[in-house]
Amino acid sequence: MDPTSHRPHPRSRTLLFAVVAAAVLVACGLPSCNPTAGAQLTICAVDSAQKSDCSASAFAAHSIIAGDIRTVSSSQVIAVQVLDAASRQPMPNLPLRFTIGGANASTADVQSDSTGMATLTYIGTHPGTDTIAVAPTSGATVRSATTATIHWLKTQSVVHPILFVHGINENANVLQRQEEWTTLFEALDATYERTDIETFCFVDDRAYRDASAPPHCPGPTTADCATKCISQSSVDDNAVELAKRVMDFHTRIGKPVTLMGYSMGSAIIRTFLAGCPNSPTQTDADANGRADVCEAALPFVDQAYFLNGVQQGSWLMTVKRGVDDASNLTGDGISPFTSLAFHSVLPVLEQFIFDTVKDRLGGPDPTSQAAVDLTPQSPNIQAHNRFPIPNTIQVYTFYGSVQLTLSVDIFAYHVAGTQTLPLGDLVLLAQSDSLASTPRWGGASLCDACGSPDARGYHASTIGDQYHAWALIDAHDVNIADIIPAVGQTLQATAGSPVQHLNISQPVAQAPGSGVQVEDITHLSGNPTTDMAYEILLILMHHDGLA
Amino acid sequence: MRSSHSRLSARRRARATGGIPLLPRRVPARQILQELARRRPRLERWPTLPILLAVLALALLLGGWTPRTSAVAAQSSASALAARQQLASGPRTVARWFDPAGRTAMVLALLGSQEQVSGTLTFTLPSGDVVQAQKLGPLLALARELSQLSPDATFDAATTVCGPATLLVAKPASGAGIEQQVNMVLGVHIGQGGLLAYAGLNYAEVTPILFAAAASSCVLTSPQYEMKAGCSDLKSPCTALLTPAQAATQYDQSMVTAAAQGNWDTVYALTGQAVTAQYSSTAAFGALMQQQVQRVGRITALTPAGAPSAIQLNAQGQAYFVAQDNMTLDHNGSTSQKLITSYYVLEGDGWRFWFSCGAGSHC
Repeated sequence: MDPTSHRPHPRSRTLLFAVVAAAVLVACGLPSCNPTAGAQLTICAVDSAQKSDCSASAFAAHSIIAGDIRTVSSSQVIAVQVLDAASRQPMPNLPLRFTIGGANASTADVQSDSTGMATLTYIGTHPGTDTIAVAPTSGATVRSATTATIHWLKTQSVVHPILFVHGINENANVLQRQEEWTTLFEALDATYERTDIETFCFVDDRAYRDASAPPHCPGPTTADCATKCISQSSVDDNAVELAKRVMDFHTRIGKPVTLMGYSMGSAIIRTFLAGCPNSPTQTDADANGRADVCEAALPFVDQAYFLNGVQQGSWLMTVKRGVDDASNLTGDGISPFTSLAFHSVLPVLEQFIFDTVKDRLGGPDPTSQAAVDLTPQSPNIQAHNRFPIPNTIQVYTFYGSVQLTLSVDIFAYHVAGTQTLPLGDLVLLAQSDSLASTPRWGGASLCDACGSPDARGYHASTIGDQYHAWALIDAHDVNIADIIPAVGQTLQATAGSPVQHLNISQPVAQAPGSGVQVEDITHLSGNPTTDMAYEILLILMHHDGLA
Repeated sequence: MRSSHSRLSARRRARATGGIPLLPRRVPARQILQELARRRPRLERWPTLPILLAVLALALLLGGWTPRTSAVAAQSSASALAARQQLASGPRTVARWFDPAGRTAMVLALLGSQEQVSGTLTFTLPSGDVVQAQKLGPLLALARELSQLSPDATFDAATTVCGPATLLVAKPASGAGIEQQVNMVLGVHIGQGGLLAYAGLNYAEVTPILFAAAASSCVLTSPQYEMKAGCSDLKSPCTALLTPAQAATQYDQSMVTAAAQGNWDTVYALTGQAVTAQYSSTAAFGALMQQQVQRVGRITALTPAGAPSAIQLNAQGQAYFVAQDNMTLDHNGSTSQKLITSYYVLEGDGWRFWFSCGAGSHC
């Protein structure tokens, strides 16, 4: 091939130059070539524990977290991605200023690299909360920008036994390895003695099958663990086991035990705190039908945290077990008649949620004892409803509250939604606060004799101080045309809500700076609201006189 | 198919005439340069036109231009409507009726599923409690018949069913069970292809004597609960349902009139609960619509773009149809036209406007 064959003709070269120059001139008349383009800045906190590396692919997949919990004198890496808000292209070589406000206030100037990324590494020297913002100092205006939140904690090793109870189908070893509830464990780890934070094993825990059970788990109750250890045993059996474990924990540490339960774990705790009234394994029940072992262990509990807990059962179990059909779903604010605006979409909505969530739950076997117990109005629920929680135990409840509004277009006219459909955490409806209520479709809320939730979702005992509850509100507006005839992106986003039952244990819901914010009742965070994990830590610290 | 065929034809025509074909979106720059390189001799002879085109093409690439797509959108929208009209909905799996005024509803499972037995009837009371009956012979027969029924079919049948049922209480008193066994007497009148219905219900707690009495005389008298969805009792003929074309035209006309006169009462009456339950007075609805007219413009004409779809039944048993209109909008004297797809749903005794498809929706 003649190497000169591709050499541009001199006149062509001039023409080509003219073409390119003219093209640039014309293109720069368009919004994307504006010299003061609007920048979209997204901040990410690097945290190996939460598998957050803030890489370009993580930004692309929206799998980034907006905060971290660190101990004082350690370092924190913050990354920012700068995109042209119009073209969504990276903005390289842009001068940026990080502004840290809060306990470690300072500023730092950096420049975005060729991929539009910039990082800041800083060491927190004071305990407290930092809020980090970033903005270009020249060359672009801010079209949108997120912030990051870092909680800096003093390293301590306070002795306070904490026992975490997982949900149905889960593995105690996963918790022990802190692969779920990572942020919460990070927060607890910084302040409390790590070896005193334990996880409870179900009597048929999957950890037994893997031979990976955490320390102090006594072993399975079945010899056929290879096939039967699936974490689907009865709530009652596990409640008795929990009582034994509390006794053992208290004996070893010599301090009251704090219980934290997620999903079915909360149901186990609730049954234990009721004194295991319906235990089929009891051998020495007293006249009231309570198991002595549970009664004996109750004085050794100081606090109970219910995290998206199955208090009155899950509507999903009702449908899965064929007790009723999803299209009949009713609840507080959900019925064909109290929510007429949603009447024409409820059947589609319910079927979509059911289909979306049932597979992600990974079962359970609808005939398992766990599924039976978690079905609204089950004998287990009716039994524990008869007994209040001893007033020496402080109760803190967090439950998801996805709230939907429905907008409609009438030809060219947009009609905004005004009614709200409360869908709980999609697996559990929120429902009544009462300890004794038995709604047909179950519920998660637990706040006896409490007032109505405030605008932030917080409510508490009107007399005394025993119960506190937070509705984790996540509001979505969905256009009816995105539900019917086919489910579209906005409803898919609703199913992916961070407060959704299966997402609540993940960093997206718990990381500092996440959208899931709760009212800070301790007034220790320095803000009216904070993230759930930090709030739990602050409550514990408040009880322990650490704050 | 048609649009891709049109694109191919356009390219063929362009090649035959020697011009640069109109390029589809996202053409690689290399392809444009190759095209230019191939045409270099012609470029030297008549440089102005190709240069201008090249400038434009490069500028558009650099500027992230998006072509106007209204014609394409209209075409694909029309295809979507055609596809919906051809939807083979298969056998009906559930039939559903609703009485907004009486606050009652009835659902009949026509085909068995994992979660529901065929012939299961659920009658929802105004309180939200439901009475559920399964495996009763006449209901099974009715379910079989309705499962095969086209919504356009002429069908009118009435029956009275007596037997055991379950009362499922939405919010039972503390400690009480949600399930209570009852005996029910249910009169059902189904009309107009299964789309309209009447049901009257009496139920009582199970006692051996009452059960015997009910079994001996299965007659519905003075029903405690009624569900009137286009039929008013067991004997009278059901309301004649408008055809989709009639219903759509009626709504179109009411919309244009309301936009011109500012009185939205008729539009409100013909609009579905998704809107009217949220704006519970015509005044509030009217005020909102007037704001929209100010903001977006006044709809001056709605012209049907073809016939509406046939009546469809979705998996949840809801009956609906789809219509398309060419909408003319006047905003501060500037007139524009747009093709709009709208859905209408059967609510109670008639068709109600359900929604129009907005940008980004799956319609």
